[in-house]
Amino acid sequence: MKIQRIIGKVLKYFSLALITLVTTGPVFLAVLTSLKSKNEVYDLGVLELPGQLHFENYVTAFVDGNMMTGFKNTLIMVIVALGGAIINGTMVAYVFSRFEFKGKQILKSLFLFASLVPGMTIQVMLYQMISRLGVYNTRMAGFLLYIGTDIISIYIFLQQADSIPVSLDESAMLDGASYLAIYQKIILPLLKPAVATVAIIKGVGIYNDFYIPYQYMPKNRLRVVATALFQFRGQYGTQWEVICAGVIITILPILILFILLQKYIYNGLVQGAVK
Amino acid sequence: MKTKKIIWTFSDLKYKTQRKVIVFCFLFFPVLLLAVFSYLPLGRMFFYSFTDWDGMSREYSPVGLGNYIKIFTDAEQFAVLKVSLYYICGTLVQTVLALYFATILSFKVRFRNFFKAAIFFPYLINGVAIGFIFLLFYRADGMLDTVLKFLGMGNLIQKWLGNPDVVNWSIVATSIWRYMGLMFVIFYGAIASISSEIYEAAEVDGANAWHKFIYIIFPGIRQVIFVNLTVNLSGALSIYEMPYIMTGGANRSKTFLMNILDTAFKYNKYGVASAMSVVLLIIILLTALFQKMVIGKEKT
Amino acid sequence: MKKWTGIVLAVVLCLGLTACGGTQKEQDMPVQETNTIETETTENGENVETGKAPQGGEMREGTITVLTNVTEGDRLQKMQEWAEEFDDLYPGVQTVEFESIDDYENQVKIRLSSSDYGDVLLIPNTVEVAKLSEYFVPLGSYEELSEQYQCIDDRTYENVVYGIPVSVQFTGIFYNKNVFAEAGIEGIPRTIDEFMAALQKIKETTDAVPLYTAYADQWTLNQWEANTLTAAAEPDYPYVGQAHDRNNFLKGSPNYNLYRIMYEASAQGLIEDDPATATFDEAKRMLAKGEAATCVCSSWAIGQFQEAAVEAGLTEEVIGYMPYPVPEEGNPQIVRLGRDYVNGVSVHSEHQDIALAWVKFFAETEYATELSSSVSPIKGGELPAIATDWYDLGVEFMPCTPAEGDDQGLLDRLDKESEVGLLEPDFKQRIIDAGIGNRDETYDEIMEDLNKRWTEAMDALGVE
Repeated sequence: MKIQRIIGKVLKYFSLALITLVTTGPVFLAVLTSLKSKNEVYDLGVLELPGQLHFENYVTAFVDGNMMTGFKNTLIMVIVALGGAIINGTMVAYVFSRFEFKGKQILKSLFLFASLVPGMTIQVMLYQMISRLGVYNTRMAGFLLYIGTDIISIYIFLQQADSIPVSLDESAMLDGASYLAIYQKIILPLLKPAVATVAIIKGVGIYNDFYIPYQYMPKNRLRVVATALFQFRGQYGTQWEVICAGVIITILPILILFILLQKYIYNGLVQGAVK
Repeated sequence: MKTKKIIWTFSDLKYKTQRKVIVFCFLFFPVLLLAVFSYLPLGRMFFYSFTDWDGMSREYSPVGLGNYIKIFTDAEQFAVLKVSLYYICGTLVQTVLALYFATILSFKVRFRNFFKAAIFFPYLINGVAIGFIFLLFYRADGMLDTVLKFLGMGNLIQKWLGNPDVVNWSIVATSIWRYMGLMFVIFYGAIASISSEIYEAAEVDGANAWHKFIYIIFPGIRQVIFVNLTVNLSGALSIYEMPYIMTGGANRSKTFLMNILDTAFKYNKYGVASAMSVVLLIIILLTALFQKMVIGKEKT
Repeated sequence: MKKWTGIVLAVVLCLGLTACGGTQKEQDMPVQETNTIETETTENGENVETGKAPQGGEMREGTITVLTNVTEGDRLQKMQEWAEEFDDLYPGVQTVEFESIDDYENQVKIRLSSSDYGDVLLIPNTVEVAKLSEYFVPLGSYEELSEQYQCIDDRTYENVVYGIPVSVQFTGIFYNKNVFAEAGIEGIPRTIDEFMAALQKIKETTDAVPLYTAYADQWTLNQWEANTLTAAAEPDYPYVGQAHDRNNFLKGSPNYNLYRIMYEASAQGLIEDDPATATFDEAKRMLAKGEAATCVCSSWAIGQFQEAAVEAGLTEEVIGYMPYPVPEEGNPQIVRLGRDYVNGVSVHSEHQDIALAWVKFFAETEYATELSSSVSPIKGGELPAIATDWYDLGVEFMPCTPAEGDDQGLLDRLDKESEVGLLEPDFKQRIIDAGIGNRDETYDEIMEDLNKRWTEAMDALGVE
């Protein structure tokens, strides 16, 4: 029995150590590469340490990549689009979970169906829409697309809203609360875990999204962090060391945020997505 | 609504009227967005699937069912669906791994928070960056080869992206690396929501970890596992990003969605590509319906 | 990495799969239709001829957006300097704003379906020549513009020119002179057999990879296609003959001979060890250091390879450039002079006069000779120094004969209909895969399959 337990323990820690190596290894590789000089990237073995640490790659990535503008634009994108998606999603969830009306089932299935469409297949048509709305190459294009094509969030909210007891609404109504007040004072606060879930999944998604900014906001002034990396991959060559430095720079803020908010993140994901 | 002078406030309305106003106002923009960014494009795609549109021109002519006939008479179109099987296998592996780590981390473990973070954090990294990193990882004398050599397993070295028998596994592994963390956290949360009294009762009965997993944890979160599994399985049909970044579809790593994009962009056959998209959508829809039926049965 | 395809695809010469007009017929065809630029442009054009940019006092003020495939900082900087020069020529009139686009071809193709595609842009090569007028403003008549510019033929339709090349390119094979000397190869191999023998010799006597394909980057393989003219030794073939050839890929055809090198080198172990991770970056670096011996690429890369040599601590002299070998000893060695991307003006532009002035101004800049290390689109442009000895080898430079009448755009339609993809990497990767044993196919089987698709497309389009 005791031996079994020890073996179990060894196996447990061994597997945990292994998975940690596997998940962090490739990122370690990026860190190492980011500290090499251009020639060392090729001349040294991948896991060999460079003769001297080339922190200037970080400077190059940050300055030449206009990372400052990138972070600013990304921040604006994340805040507005996330805010929009949350308002949008909670409104739909409230209506669907609390009211009966003609066509509700159909509407609900329309939302569900749309979530199944692989976005890549309709990109040309989406482009036409954005262009016709006259928002091409403006932030509005990003806002609209992040909010308008985000159906998963609606579902997360809907699930959570369904689990909020209707008796709460009813007792509020006895006190004379309007439906609007119920949304603001009961539903929204109780949806917090789902909001956390959406903020994480969606926030990470927008932060890392390359495609929408690239396709719909190509103007240099609107560059986001994810597209900034691409400046170092040109037609005549790829500056791996600078790209890796750029990758590390883009990971850092989100990693720090993650470590600080770890507890909330787990709880949010758990409460929002599990039910 | 503190000022008394307001002649009319929302809460003065009858609940019935309020309801109508709320339903209309709250749904107006979401439904508008849904229409403009999902259904109008979808409708146009459906429409184009009956034309010979080239993807740019203002001119095109109707071809009836021609595009659909073309797809269904071309066996190669569906051969690429086989590639999805790799991703389906990958999903199964990912589920097992996520479940394993979620379970052992639910018990007493040293440095639990560290391990949790380590497992979750690949999910935070940008997909294109992952593509870059893994090219360095898989290339000849890259990290993987170096590590294998160091461990004395140099004979296992492969052309990870160059061997058609291996390439899909390499990409699937990358995909697991990226997404396993999210699944892990969801499972972990589900396990945490199982009431601790049940465990205590089990411990009194002398249950070991394995018993707890089989008799408490697994039944407790079966529903969550199932939902996650099925969502990921249907996602396997429309995989595109990872193989696109890593190989561009070379060496038979091309997926059905990549095939659609090639047809549209390399050969300017937007009409045919639209028809293929419609077919893909129908397949996804059928899978979803099937899953819904199974879940429905599970519940009853 | 497909993202790059668009960018460098540009450089595949004469992309004129959309073959061109520019015939002497219909001389009375009025150039100016609804969207045409006003008459002053003709005068501007004449000014350009004298080597000066137009002095456009009459131009309205405005900003034009220019789409470019130049993405890197220092090269973009150079573009910016030209934009400032342009501003100085027309004080207070306009500014040029660049939008640099990675994956140019695909991104811009999507944008063409709307009206947001800038004022000046590189015309995507997939736009069919007959449809050019739908998106682009006529720049002038062929007679007029062909006096100043070369290689405008295949972006001309019914005698109207829609684009002016940003540079003129030709294609050959880069090689490392030291490796050739070490392997004891004397003189430049002239035929395919001699070239294959040279590769074999390199394999036997040196450590270098004899032929580096840079398979993983995909667009690198498309560079080969520009050599169809050399393989055919017949300027009619690439745009005209090919579209009517029912044996287009079969044994003995130019395409068969062209890609034979690719297949045989792969099959005989003369290419890089792991093509799936072989990139153009590696090609440059390895060739410069003598770790690779040869690489097929167009002239825009001359500067790149030379730079790589300097970076590796050697001199530019290490890099040699030779013409693509001919199938048989007796064949003339003809090298195609072809266009890079062409600059066109959007029909939706509100400042077509400024846009046109920029297009002409840009053709005069050192973009072609410096940034692109090739030949200027202005008539009489000279070869880069590295290739001047090609004349001594008996090489003839020639543009391909453009297709006329109903044949205009036919090659492109056939290519798309058959899904052969002459300028796509797909069948080239297939050839290499088969060569290295990743696919159960012989070279003849692949080429027969391509031929079958080609003839089926000919039947479908009713081509004789």
